[in-house]
Amino acid sequence: MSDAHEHKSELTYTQVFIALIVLTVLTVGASLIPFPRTVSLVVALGIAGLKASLVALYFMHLRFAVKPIYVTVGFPLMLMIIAVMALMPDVAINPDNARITIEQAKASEPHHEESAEH
Amino acid sequence: MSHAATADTHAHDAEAPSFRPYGVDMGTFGMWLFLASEIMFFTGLLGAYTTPEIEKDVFALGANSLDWWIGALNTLILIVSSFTMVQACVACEKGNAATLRKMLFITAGLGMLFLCIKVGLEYYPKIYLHGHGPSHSLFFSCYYGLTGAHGVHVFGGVIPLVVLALQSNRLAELRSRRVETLGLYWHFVDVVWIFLFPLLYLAQ
Repeated sequence: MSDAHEHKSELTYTQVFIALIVLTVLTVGASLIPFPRTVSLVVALGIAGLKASLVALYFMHLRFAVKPIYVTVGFPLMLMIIAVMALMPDVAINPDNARITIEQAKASEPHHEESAEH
Repeated sequence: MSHAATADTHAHDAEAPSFRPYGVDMGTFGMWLFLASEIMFFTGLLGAYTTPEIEKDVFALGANSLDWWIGALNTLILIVSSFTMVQACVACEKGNAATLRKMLFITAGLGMLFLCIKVGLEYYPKIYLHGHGPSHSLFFSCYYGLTGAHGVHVFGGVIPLVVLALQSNRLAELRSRRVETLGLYWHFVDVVWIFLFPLLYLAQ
């Protein structure tokens, strides 16, 4: 590896590192804006996807990888998306079956503080 | 020692020449295969999170009870550790044993710091002071399942990091690919946390 190439790759690592820090701050910043919950989740997961891509492409050198590596990683990623998507009909069709309200959840909490007061 | 014996010792010390069908190093390929199985492992846990996520109120309540700054701090720690891991790989390529050792120890130290924060500032107070154990609610069941599995992976990375740091002189001399292979694992652990942080701490 030439000195110029080495210098360039080390510079790239530093740039990716700074980008990851900035994106983490952005994730937290975006979560403080009162978007609807679905929008917040999409934004947060979108930024997370971008960060994960930066780590995979630059730190894990996936952008220089050969076909067998892409196939090895691509299939489980595809299966992961299919598996999570396969759960969606269950969520969409039976949203009320397992729904618990905040009141029910609070009522089910152990009463440590109350018992401590007594 | 005869020349033949010296040559034999050197041959024994050196790593076996890499078998590279289709231009792929077999050690690297093996690690990618392992990571592929790890993707499916975390998919199962993520699926377990997705299904009860319909109970939005419970999950919002659970996420609200976590301190987002602890999650953010741990995210920053893992990102810095990924950067020091990359620096270790660069040092190994250059044959710089001192930097390699330093960077591997720093990466391992950051991994341990991550675990200490997780156990000391989150698990202990949550379980023993607030009564929010794994059986408290579906959210905490998912929370301990996901973060616990991830924590075990972090600890599973720290051990080989220390072992390689202790062998840094030899690894740097041989320009060994073992450091880069371990780096793949460590970055994967970082990638998993990058998704867990918004899902668990910011899904309010």
